[in-house]
Amino acid sequence: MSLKIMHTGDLHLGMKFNQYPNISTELENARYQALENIIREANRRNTDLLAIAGDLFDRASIKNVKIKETISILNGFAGDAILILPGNHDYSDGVSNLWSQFKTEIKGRMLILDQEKIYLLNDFGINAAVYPAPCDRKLSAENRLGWIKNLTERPQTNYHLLLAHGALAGFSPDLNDDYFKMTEKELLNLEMDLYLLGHSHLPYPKKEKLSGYKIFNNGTPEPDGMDCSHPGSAWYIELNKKKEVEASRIKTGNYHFSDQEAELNSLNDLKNLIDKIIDSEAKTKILRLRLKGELPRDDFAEKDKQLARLRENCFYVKIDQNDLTIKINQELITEEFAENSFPFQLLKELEDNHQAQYLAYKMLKEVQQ
Amino acid sequence: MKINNFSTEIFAGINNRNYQFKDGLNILLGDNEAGKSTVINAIYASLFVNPQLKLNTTEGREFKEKFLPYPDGDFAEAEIEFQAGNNNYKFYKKWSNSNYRGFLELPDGRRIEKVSKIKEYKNDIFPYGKSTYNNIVFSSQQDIKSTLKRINAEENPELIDTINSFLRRAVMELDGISIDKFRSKIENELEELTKKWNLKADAVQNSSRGVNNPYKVGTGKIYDSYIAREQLRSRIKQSQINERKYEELGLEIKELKDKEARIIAEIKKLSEIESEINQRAAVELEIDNLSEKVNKMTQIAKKWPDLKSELSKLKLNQEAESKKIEKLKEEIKRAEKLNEKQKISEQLELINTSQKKLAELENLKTEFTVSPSQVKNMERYKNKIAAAEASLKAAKLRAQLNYSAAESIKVSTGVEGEKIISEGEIFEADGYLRIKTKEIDIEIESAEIDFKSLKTEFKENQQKLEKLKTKMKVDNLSQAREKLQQLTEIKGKIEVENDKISELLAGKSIEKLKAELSKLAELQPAREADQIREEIDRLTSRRADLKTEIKIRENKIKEFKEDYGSLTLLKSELKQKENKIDILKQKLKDLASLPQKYKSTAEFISNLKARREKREMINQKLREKMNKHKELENVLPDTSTREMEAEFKELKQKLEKQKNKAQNLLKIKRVFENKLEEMDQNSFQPLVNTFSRNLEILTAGKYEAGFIDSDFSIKIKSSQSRELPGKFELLSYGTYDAAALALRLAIFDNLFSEYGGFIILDDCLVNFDPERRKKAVKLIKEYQEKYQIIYTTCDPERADEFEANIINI
Repeated sequence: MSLKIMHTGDLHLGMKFNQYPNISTELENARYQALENIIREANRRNTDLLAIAGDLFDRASIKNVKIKETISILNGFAGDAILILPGNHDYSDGVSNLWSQFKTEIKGRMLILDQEKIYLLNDFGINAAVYPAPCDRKLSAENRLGWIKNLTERPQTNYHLLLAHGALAGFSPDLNDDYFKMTEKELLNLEMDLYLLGHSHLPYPKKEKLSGYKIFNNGTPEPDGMDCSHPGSAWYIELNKKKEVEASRIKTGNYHFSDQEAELNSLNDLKNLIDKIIDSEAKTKILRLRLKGELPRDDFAEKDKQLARLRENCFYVKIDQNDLTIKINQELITEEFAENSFPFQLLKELEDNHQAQYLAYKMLKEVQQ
Repeated sequence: MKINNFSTEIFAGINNRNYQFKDGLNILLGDNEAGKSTVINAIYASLFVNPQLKLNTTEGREFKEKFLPYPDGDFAEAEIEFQAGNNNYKFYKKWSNSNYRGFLELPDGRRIEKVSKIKEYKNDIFPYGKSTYNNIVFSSQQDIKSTLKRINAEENPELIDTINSFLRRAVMELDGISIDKFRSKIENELEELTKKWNLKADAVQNSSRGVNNPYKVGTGKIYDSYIAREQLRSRIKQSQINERKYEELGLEIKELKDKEARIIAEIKKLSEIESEINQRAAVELEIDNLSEKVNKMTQIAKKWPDLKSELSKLKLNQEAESKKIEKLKEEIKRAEKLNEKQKISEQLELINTSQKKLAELENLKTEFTVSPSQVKNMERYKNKIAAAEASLKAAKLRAQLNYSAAESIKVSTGVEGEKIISEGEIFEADGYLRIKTKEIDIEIESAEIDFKSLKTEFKENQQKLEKLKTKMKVDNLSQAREKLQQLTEIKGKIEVENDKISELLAGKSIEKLKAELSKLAELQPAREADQIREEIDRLTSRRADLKTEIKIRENKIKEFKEDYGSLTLLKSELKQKENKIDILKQKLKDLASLPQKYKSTAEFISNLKARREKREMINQKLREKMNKHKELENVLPDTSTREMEAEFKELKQKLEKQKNKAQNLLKIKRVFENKLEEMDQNSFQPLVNTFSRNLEILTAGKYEAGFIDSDFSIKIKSSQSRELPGKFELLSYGTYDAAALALRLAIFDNLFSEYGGFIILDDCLVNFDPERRKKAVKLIKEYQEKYQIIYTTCDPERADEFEANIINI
């Protein structure tokens, strides 16, 4: 019997998006939506086990009603068991109420892996042992694999699965040794069949489909900021009798962030850029666009119409046009200002500083009668 | 450059026109509404307006409104042939939004349609840009007039009260951009950005109004961005601190919880045997108490009979001692009596002695035959004698026998007898002198005394004295005294002895004493009283000790009796208690035993108590910390640090941009002021000259050319009439028209004199009175020599004034 696992984590439910005030509610809800997506995908594939490798919640102070909502979503999973590991944001320190509250609401097959001990899944019909490395605080220089290393014996189960939350050395940056750093070597030494990690918001390995790998980092299933350029995904992993691993990445994200910068020389450049953007899933796109360059005056006059197109089609657009100016050349100057008039002279003199020149031009036009 | 031909099929309200233009003056003659201005506009458009009408530009919109045929013509069209240098060019344009077309036909017949290429060629053909043509070549009289009016109305009249500055202004502001307004604009923008900010120092102006105490109003954008950034920075920092605190607190709580759990486990274990241990303690206590009592009682049981026997022994001793004491007391009595006996004997002895002595003394006494009275008499007699002698001495006579024939001279002096003196002998006599010879007998007496009585007295006393001496058996007074003394002494001694005897007798008679003595004759011997007394004392104190000892034991036994009744009863009670102890000890065996590490049940109990207290303390601490934890939880921001940092970055960038803008504004300002200064310094001389010349013509020489100075004080305003030399109030000359015309032509001339060109004058003389019109015509005639002028008017008479190519619209 092979074991089918859906591996995710870092949902950060309850995360706020104060930087995007107009769409913050949608973005907050999208994360719950992503969880629903994951469960739907898991059910479609008749997955046995749902593993959440940490940071299910963004912080310890989650409102009760939201905890209930989360559990209700999780209950939609049709498989045998759900494993939830406390991460470094929703850590279990025996103090905050989050997990105790959670536990009072759950029924049966959800396991909160908040202790450093072996969890057997036989009761759920899965012949596997789970070795969790839960987080008890936000920052730590040491990982929590110690207790596993010290084990002298293991239960006789088919599969041995390790769940851990922390930075994977070489892949996830941890400059100050803050994030429970683990190395591949140290993990492989533990001789597990599968290593399901969480913490980094990028999925690992970088391929979409692969076999023979054992170490996975879930990456966030719903993108959470401009620095997150991937569309959000979870791992679907099949472990066969011979312990061979087949994995594929499932897209689960609802929105995606796009951080772009473009230098324009003409209206056409802008048009093409906008066409390209609109063509690439604009409806769920959260776009930050920085435009720079110099456009001919008439093109500049048209640009807003184009940009309106962008605003209409994208879910959210933030445009920084501070460095997009009119091309002020000799031609423009002579066209707009009489020979030897002071604007004429002023603009000529500011030739070597385009920013200042453009600013002067703007002000002149504003003052002109 | 000049225009040769213009034609249009449709342009605004005109259609199918074709006009030829010649050198010099061309007059476009036509009624109002005939379309003169339309033609001019069409000419301008054909030269300068792109065929593709962009309706989102002002020009495009205006063109559509004004020049596309009403009501719904969607295109206009025109063609213009012109000459530049010696080359003929043609522009064809069809203006439309979508269906536009246009080309430039080159001298060699090639047609250029590409807009950028056309631009290139235009750069070569036209000496100036569109705006110059717009503002100078094609501008209406009205435009120039407004320019002048505007300059005139500016706030700093001093700036433009010279032709030079006026012209300068006129030229500079040809585009309709006021220098002052632009300056204000820069200032406003700068102020808006930099209020409360010091750009040079790159810091807040007032260091005490930084992020800790920011201004709430009156701040510039840079200040605001800076404050926002700093506030965010400290919020981030604070939230990091809070997060850290929160975590640390969480760890502390965890530790405490573990500690509490451990202690609770310990307490639990201990409290399982707590009650039995308590029982054990009680039983042990009881056993101890009983054992103590048993010990005590056992001792008493032993002691009691001992005491009894001791008591009887002591009592016997006591008796013996008492008896001894009695005996000693008797002995003392005897000793005393013996003493007495001795004493009496001694007394009698002494009395005897004294009596003997007394007898002796009495004997002796008789030998002394002097008495005090006798001595007294002696003294008296002696005194009297002495007195007499003294008196006689007082009357002492001295004599000298100088000569005497007698053989023997007998002299009696004083009271003395006779004596024989020799010749020449000096002799003295006290009071009386008797010289006796055979022949003489002289008696001399001192007259001062009564010698006879004295002598008699003397002699009497002397006799008495002798008598007394004999009686007293002394030779002299001192002897007598001595004897008397001795007698007194003896008397004294006799008295002493008498006293002694009486003392010894002590009131008793000797017989009595003797009788007493005989009574004490028969007495047994005894030791010294002191010795005996010593012994008595010793024995007495020993007896007292015994008494004490006895008392003690008696009391003790009394106690025992009180406590236990009797020895028998004591013994039975003792047995009872011993039995009880055994029972209790058995009971102990059944109770839980004390864990090894505790030395006593008390230790166990106090240990358990201490643990309970500790647990309570830990619990208290735990609750406090958990409250704090909850508090902190509420204080933690719900924006993640990541978001805040991204926001921070954006604020930083915003601040930079604003600072850049401020810097750019400063640069613009600098360049602006520099340029103005430059332009001020630039010589407008040629323009001034031309303008002045024009003016001269227009004002019929009320203005001397040749004295033109760039700074002559020509009053252009009329509001103040000041008497200035050569003053010429230009604008009080009626209208601005003359000035406007002069100016326009001057500027035009200055620009185009090198290139040649054409200029459009739109009925600029319409406001002139005949006098000035003549002058103006003269001026225009001058210009038409050099330039192509297209003059529009509705008045045919105008046409006649000139030599011109008349084009009828």
